[in-house]
Amino acid sequence: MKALGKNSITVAIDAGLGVLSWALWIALALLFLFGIPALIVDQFYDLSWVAKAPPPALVWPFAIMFAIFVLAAQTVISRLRKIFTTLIAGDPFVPENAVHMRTIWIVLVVFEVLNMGFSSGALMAQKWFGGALAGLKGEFHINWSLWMAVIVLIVLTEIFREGAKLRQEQKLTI
Amino acid sequence: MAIRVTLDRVLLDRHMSLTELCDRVGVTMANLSILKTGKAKAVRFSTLEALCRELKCQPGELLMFEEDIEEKDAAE
Repeated sequence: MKALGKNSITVAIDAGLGVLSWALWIALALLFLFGIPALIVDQFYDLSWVAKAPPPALVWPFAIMFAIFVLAAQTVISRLRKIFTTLIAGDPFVPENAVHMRTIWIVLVVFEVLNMGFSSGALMAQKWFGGALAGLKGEFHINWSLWMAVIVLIVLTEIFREGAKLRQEQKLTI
Repeated sequence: MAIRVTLDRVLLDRHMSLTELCDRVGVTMANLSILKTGKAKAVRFSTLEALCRELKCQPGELLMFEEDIEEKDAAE
């Protein structure tokens, strides 16, 4: 399979990202349309086959965290698709792509910090309120592989930024 | 950019059009326009040599150093 052009890996990945983007929107819509009423109105729907429901007091925090996750994922996907568009067009080394890459690692950092805050908050809430939050699993966990990936992404973004700048200068060398 | 290209003035002095210069030098119109409008980031010696040869001038006649306004403000 070739890297660029019709029926290439790039086009296939771009299509996959498009599908993933839609799937996330649908998941978010389903959560707000069915999931939350089901959790608020007791026994409205039995969703135990889908997932273990959080304690009622934590329905909204969970829903908000999921919405933040979907928005973060959508931002990353949309930026990746913009990068892929330039790649498919045959000219990915443009300064705009460095901005997209920077946005991606910032979103990853912000989301992971929020995630850590939420997990730690859940842990503290469990200690304070105990039995009322029996279904809650709180823990303080550092995702080392994600942080390493973020560091690698930061370095690659800066290299890309310099490369794109050099490319731009080369283009404007007569 | 502190370096200003004075190609338009030299062309006017030589009564030569940009199209004619493109043909003589072998540089595309698009690239020469970038140079003329001051959008170029760098000039190759080979291009400068060809321009000087065809326009019968010195590199100093094509390029001029001008302090930027910001630099002037900073100096004051």
